[in-house]
Amino acid sequence: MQLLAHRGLYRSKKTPFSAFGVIIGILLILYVLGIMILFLWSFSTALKTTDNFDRDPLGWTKSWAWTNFADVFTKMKVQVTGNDGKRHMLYLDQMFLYSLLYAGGSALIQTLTTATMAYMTSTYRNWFSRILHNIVIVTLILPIVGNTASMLQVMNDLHLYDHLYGAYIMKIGFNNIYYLIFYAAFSKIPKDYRESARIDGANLLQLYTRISFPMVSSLFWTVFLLLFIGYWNDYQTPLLFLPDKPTAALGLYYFLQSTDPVFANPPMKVAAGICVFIPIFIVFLIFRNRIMQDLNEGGIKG
Amino acid sequence: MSPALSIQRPSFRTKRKKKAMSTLFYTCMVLIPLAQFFIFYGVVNFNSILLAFKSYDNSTGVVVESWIGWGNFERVFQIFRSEQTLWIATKNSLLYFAFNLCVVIPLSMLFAYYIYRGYPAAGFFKVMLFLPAVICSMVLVIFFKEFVETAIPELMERWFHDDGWYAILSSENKGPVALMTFYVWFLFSGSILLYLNAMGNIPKSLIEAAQIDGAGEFRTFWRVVIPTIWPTLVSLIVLALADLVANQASLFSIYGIFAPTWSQTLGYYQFFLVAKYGADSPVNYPLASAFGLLFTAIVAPLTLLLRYLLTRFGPRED
Repeated sequence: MQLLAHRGLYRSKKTPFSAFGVIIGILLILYVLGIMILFLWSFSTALKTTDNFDRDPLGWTKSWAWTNFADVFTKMKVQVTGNDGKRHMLYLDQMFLYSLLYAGGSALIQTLTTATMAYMTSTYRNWFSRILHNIVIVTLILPIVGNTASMLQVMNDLHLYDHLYGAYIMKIGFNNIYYLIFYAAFSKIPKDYRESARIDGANLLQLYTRISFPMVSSLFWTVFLLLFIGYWNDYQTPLLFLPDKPTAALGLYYFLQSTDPVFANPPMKVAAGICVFIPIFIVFLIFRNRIMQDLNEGGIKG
Repeated sequence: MSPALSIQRPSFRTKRKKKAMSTLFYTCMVLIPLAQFFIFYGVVNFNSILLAFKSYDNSTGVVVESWIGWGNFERVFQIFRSEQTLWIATKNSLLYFAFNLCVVIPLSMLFAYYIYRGYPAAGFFKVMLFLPAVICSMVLVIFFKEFVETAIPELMERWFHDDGWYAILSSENKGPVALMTFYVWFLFSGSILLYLNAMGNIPKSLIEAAQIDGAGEFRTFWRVVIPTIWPTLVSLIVLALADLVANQASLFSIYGIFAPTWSQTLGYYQFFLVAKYGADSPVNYPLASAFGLLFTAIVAPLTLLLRYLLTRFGPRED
């Protein structure tokens, strides 16, 4: 029972399944049915030929056109300017590579920076740490809108525009919600651990990397995964800041907006959507327990 | 001499050296993130203020920058006076906020409560509710757009012999309902885990005590769960308000830069101003920045006020 309660699933034995629970259950079933119908229809559509779809857009596929997926890899392309200044075409496999570089790099850098800053402010409790901590809280509470134009200009001026390293530098920020979670996790680690290691000869960096960090490594990878999924799916940042390094999500945006008759048919568009969806769905299936775990619970190990 | 007395105290010099090392380590560790924050938060927002007072002209093919004082703010008010676009965008933004507040937040809490209580298929529902959060919004948009534009019209024609359901997302009558459905449908995911985390911290003895006292499920939810998760609820309501002027409601994903006027929100309008030319031309930057500054000035104090009121007058755990 305690374990269930910790996992956010707690049901008292004494409580019967109430009318209140039944009503919420019905709403949930309707919600899930809606999602399942949409996904099943999309999967079926992706396997239809254009003729099959035109004749029967509602029914289950009869054509099983698996070639639609292969076509997506050969027909979904974006024209970009290469490092040599020449225009050339980029295909889905290359877009996946950019997705991996953008999402993987950004997520790793942001998680590392956020965790490090949280460690520093929670361990070294001086006046400067208090200022840094308050900066995060104020920037999280205070909404600032409409600074995208300024960001574009600054990125351009610093020659970071349209470079992957520019996107990474953009993500070094620590003023995000995960800082507070890391801060709480590091604060929970008893000071004695670090003091013992210090007596044993560990230096300041080792106190972080060998003592404190391993204790929040579970949280670290959970945050990394959440950020990775977020950046993999993000198409607006690459649209504005990495136009010549299109990720798969950005390619999908161009694909959807395309009026070219080769792409402007529902089976092709939906097949393209499934191609971009599959990799992250696999990641989700593999790590679903870690991704959906209680972030507070995942804070301290051992 | 006893062993305790033989321990040597660190000298003043050693202490000073240790402190210097500690300061050096601290500086090295925070320097880069701090510099990044200074540039990408401080400089960017300061530049955004400056941009709001500038103008760019590239009618001659060369971008010419000039200072125009309050001209961009006057332009914003002028657009409000002369065009319907911004009034419609304001109305739509408020409508999305209201839906968030009245439909998404209560339903998310109820769904999270169902999972928290471990009712039948709670684990399955948890995965299904969270699934849209891991799917790219473009993928969801493609599935939804094609379904609404092709399957729904066919369905209506076959079952009800009504052929007026084509091009739903371009229709001023049916389009808003479709857009709102999409918005509500896929918005639960993000907050479910936060509510579950908050509910996970409720002591089970509290729930059991309430039920021993004869409280039913609804009463337990209303009187025990909501007051306990109130801080999380306040944060999500405040975030919804803060998002009022930034919320694009997936319009850019659905329509690109061609969203019909009736569908636009303030968030879309601002993003459109920048995304239309991107980095190719800065002509729209000043207007976008003036918009941002003006709406930040309105929404930021409102957000802080709402947070204060909800915290001050909301239910308490005791």
